[in-house]
Amino acid sequence: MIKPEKIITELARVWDKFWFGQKEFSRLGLFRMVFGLVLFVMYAYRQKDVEFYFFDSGFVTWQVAQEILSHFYTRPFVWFPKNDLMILILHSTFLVSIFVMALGVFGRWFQCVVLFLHLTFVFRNPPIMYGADLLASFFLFYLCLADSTRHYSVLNLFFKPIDKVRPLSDALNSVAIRFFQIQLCVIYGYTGMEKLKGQPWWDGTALWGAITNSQLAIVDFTFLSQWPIIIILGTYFTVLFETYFPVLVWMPKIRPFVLLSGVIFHLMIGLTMGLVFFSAVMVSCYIFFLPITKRAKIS
Amino acid sequence: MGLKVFKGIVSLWIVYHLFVILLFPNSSSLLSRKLDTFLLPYANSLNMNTPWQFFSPWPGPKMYIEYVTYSEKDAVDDSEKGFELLESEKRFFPPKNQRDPDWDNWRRRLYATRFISMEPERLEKTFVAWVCRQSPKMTGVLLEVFFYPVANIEKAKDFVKASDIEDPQGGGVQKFVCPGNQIDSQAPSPIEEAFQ
Repeated sequence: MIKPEKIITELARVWDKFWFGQKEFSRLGLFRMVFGLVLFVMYAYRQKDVEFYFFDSGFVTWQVAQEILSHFYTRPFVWFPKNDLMILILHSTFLVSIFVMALGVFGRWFQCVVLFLHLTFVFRNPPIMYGADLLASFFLFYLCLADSTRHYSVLNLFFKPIDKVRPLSDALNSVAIRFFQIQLCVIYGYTGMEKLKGQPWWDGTALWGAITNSQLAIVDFTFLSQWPIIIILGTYFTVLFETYFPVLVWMPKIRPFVLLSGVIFHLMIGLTMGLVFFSAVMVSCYIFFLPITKRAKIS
Repeated sequence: MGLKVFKGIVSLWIVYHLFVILLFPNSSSLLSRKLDTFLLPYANSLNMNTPWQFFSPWPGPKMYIEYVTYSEKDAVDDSEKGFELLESEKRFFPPKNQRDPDWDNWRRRLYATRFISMEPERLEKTFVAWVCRQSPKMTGVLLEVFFYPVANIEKAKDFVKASDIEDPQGGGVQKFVCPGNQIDSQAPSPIEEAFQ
């Protein structure tokens, strides 16, 4: 009979290896750069409309923004500048901060500042936030755990990077990578299961409803009624991909096909429905499932 | 601090955070409701209190808020107080032109429309208040939220344009009074007729 202490020790070893055993941190740098650049373009668009979104003379006053959410979504902090000029400066600062973050100039503390600024604007006007803003909240938070400036940093052009082992910092980096991976699985898993509640996803017609919505579709896809097989395959592929991603992506032999399917999936929704930023943010997180280099394995 | 202690503390936080990201997408569950007190402030402070429901349980239809504004007509005399339409044309939110102001900010307006249309109170506090701020002459807004579900793919075979397969369905005309304007709460029938 196996002793309980042995089981506990073994579980602790597995836990330690899973959460703290990651060694390939260049993925953090690559993700920070790609994700940061996507956010920069996305919020550069929002910058053009700051007055409508965040001024009290705009769409929603500060007071109303605090009232329209139910108690379940009450924010613990609701600071926001009152002065219009200050709001404009703050949003510009946020935009510059994202760019600096993408360049990898500063470490964790700076990524926390970017997260704080991001949340400040999210809480100011929740109605105008969309899926990519939500993803940004999660991914910026996980970046706060990571020292991602060792790789893909503009500083490496001027200084030789120091590649020494820092146990505490590396432990947090490893946790960050795991949370990126798990978060992606949670998003796909829940979205897939939520789809299973809807009849159109079962009868194979849901894609028809999505791509013939002229507010979303880039072009008029009504002609696809002549080829229903495309609608049927697309609908079932979406449900199967999202529902099974959280399981299949952990299997090394299948992973490349899962990730390739994901890239095609997001490319399609980006091209047909214009969900460009959402797709880009999701795909950028695939970096954490890319194969580990030989160098990292040896280390 | 020793690495083991550090990992122990981080492990406790990992478990806590896992609860948050795994439970809140299913916030109606019993476990989620029982743990709300411990998890909700944390989840809300990081904007992590969210269900992941993209295009679920089915893709939502196209929608617009159609609206006209009206102003109280100067009274000819105390007994004949009437109303007039401030604008003769219906307007749409989000705008019909999907490049107004640009494709991305138009989409933000679209998502805002979905969010505020879910409850009449949200509609009044956000959209109506915003419309009323556009012109001080305005005393009220008449609006209707329209959905455009599309025909079933089998019935749509003979059609070639998206507009052919749409079946607009209005949620009923609603009359809102601009904040600060005290007028009769009953919508004047000539204006409602004009809106129809």
